[in-house]
Parts: sequence; C-alpha cells; structure tokens
Amino acid sequence: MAKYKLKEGVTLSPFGEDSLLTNKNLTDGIAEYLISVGRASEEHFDISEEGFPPAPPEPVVDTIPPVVDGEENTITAVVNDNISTPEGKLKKEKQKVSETSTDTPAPPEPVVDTIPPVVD
Amino acid sequence: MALSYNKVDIRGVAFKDVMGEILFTNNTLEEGLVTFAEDVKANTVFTDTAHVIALQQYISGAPTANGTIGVNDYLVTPKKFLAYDVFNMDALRTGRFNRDMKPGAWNMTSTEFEATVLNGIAPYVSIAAEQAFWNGATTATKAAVAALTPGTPNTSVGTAEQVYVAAAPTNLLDGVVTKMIYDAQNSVVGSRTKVEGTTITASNIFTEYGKLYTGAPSVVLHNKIEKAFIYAPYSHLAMINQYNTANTYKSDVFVVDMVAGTYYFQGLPIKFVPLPENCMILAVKSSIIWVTDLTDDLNYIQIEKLQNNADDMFYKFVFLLESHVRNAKFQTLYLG
Repeated sequence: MAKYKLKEGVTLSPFGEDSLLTNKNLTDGIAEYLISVGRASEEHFDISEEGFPPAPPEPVVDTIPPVVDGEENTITAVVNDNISTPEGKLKKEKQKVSETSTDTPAPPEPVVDTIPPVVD
Repeated sequence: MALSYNKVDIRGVAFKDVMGEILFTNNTLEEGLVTFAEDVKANTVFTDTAHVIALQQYISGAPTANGTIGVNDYLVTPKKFLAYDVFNMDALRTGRFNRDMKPGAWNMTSTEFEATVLNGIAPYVSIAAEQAFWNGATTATKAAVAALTPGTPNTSVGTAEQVYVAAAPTNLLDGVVTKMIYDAQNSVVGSRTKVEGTTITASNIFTEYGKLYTGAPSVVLHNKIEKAFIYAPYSHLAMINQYNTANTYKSDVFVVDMVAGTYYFQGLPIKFVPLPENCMILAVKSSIIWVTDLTDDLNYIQIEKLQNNADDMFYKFVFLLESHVRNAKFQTLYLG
C-alpha cells in the first residue's frame, strides 16, 4: 500500500522537462527522495499513513487484435458466453426466459456450484 | 493528413527565408562529441578488456599463474526508427508556395516548399535521435531498475539514479545515462563510477563540478592518450556564465572563451548535450559509442506520392540507433 500519491493534476519533472513522474511510476521511495532534496514538497502529495490501494493496471493495448469488419459481433458474442459472474449468469437466464416464455414464466434455475465466488 | 499550414493568401511578395523553430543542430553528431560506429546493421560484438596483473617474486622453476585476462563481449543490435507523415500540396495552392508551381491544375508541386519546409524536418529528426541517444529508457529497463534496492555503494543503484530511470522518457533504447546505471544485457547494475549529486544552481555549480572531478578515476584524469570530456546539460552554459560573472575577481572560475564558445573545468573541456538536469558525465570520447548503420541516414528524407491515383504525399526517414558505453567503470556519472 503506497503512502504517497500525487494530488489530482500534479506531475513532477525532477530531471528537467523530459522527465515525468505521475502516480503510475511513483513509489514511496521516490516521493521521499524528492521531498528530501527539495524537488517536491508534501503539498504535492496526498499522504496516507494506512496507505493507498495500488493504481489499477493500465490495459495492455498492444495485445488486442484489431477489429476487422464483420468480426465485431463475433467478439461480443464470445464475451457474453464467457460471463461467469452471478450477475452475468442471471442476465443470461432472464434473456432466455423472455425469449421462450408463453403464459407462465419458467422458474429460475438454481445457482449451481460451478459459479466462482465474487472476489473483491 | 498532418500538414498544419496557417496560411495567408498571397497578394504581394513573400520574405525569402522560411525560418525553422530549431536554431541549433545535433551537436553530438555535428561536432563529433562521441565515437560513431557505423555500418552496424545487427548483432555486432563490442569487446572491452580489463586485465588484472599480479607481480610476484621471480623463481627459476615453474611459476604459479596469477592475474586475470579479462575480456567482455557486448552484443549490440541497433533499434530501427522511422519518422513518417503524409501531406497534400493542394493545401499550398493559395499561399506563398504557389509561386513556383508550374502552370496547369495538375501541377501542385512547390520546390520552395520541399526545399524550405520539408528539408527543415531533418534537424527535428536528428535532434530526436540525439535526445534518445542520451536520455531515455526502455519499459523493460524501467521495470528492472524500479525493482532494485537503492544503496550508497557503487555496486548499488543510487536513489537519484532510480528516480531518474523511473522519470526518464520511455524509448526503444536505453540512453547513455541509463546504460551507465543499468547493464540490461547482463541484468546487473552498471559498473560506472557513481557520484551522488544535488540540485545544481548558478551558485553551487563550481562545487558540484568539483565533486564530479574528484570522484572520477585517476587513470581517466591522467590519461595522456585521450583527454576526458565533461558532458553536461544545455542549462549549464547559462549557469556557468552566471557563476563566472558573480565571481569575476576570484580564481576558482570556469575557463571560458566566449568568442570560441569553449568551456573548461580544471582543464577538461565541457560539452553541452541533451542530458537531463542535475546530471553530468566525465568520460573519454572513445567510450561513448553512437551505434548506427549510417549517420547520413539522418539527413536523407524520402518524399514520394502515396499512390498514383491520388495527390497525397509522404515523407519518411529511416535510421538505426543504439547507445553503448565501453569500459563503464572508468566513466563517471554524477546524478542528483
């Protein structure tokens, strides 16, 4: 858990205009060093003794294949089929019910053991 | 389409010169501030030697071997770079560049535009190459250096060095500074001589140059074959002049020849290159290598039509570049 986080809109250039520090490459060691040598002050940071949760990782964009005409729907379908959260499962079941129902809707299927638990 | 032309429709005359934004050039290349290794396409071995000699008492019988014949190979493959953009000269039709277009709606080529604008792109490419050569780090090196534990010994990465690499421009190659800090080929901390610095100002610049000077290995300072250079960021020129002005009647000043534009510290020439702030390198020129296929590639611009049924055109630069530091333990890196 990081103790230092740059405030909204604050970036640092400790080695001139071509250097750049944001929350993505900031560590507590770097923040404490910059404060100690006077190239940043505590006012630049939000400081939490308990620690901030780590920033979410950036999506890896260069591994995503380009979308080719006609493939977009296929990709969407695959994604929907792979939904494994309880919400996704229920949504899918709802769609299934509305498509097949007549007068009396079928009772929802019980949640099976293969659904993984939701982790924070 | 990336031609940004803030145009004035021409009614009278146009001043002859078209002035570029860049008023200086790639000093590293133009002044030959480092060593250039050309004709390197890929997988070229650079070999450094560092021997340990042990003198021992003479014996007439079979002696015991002692010492080390040290040879280190480094495999260098330059990265291949590209600068490319497209434009359409039809956008020039009502501006100053229409004056040398030949009659006929088909003709929209302006030789003045090619000579003054497109050829003016080369210095930008050259300076981008120079900046990448000195300053920057790859994503992999950034991750590797971030994972190191900083410390004071020369065998550890310094805190300032770690901060520098984290904040350095992300590039396809490790620049000279990063190469001195971390040897990515062998995944170890670089063997440079480390000098911990501070924020350099016009007031303390003489003291900080003194730290670099006294921190450098004696063999480099006493080298009769090749005098070492102090490589410094551009901002130091102004700081040195300010320092000298403030200390006019003292003896401990930088030796400066304003007319010739030469700067010296304790007899060592200072060369201004695009280093990061608060960073200096004391090294012999033969140890800092600009590895490329052909340095003239930076001056060659290809301008062609994209396709025959359209008027869109492109310009393209292609060049190879890699930095390499030889015998790194004799080269001193000041970073604060």
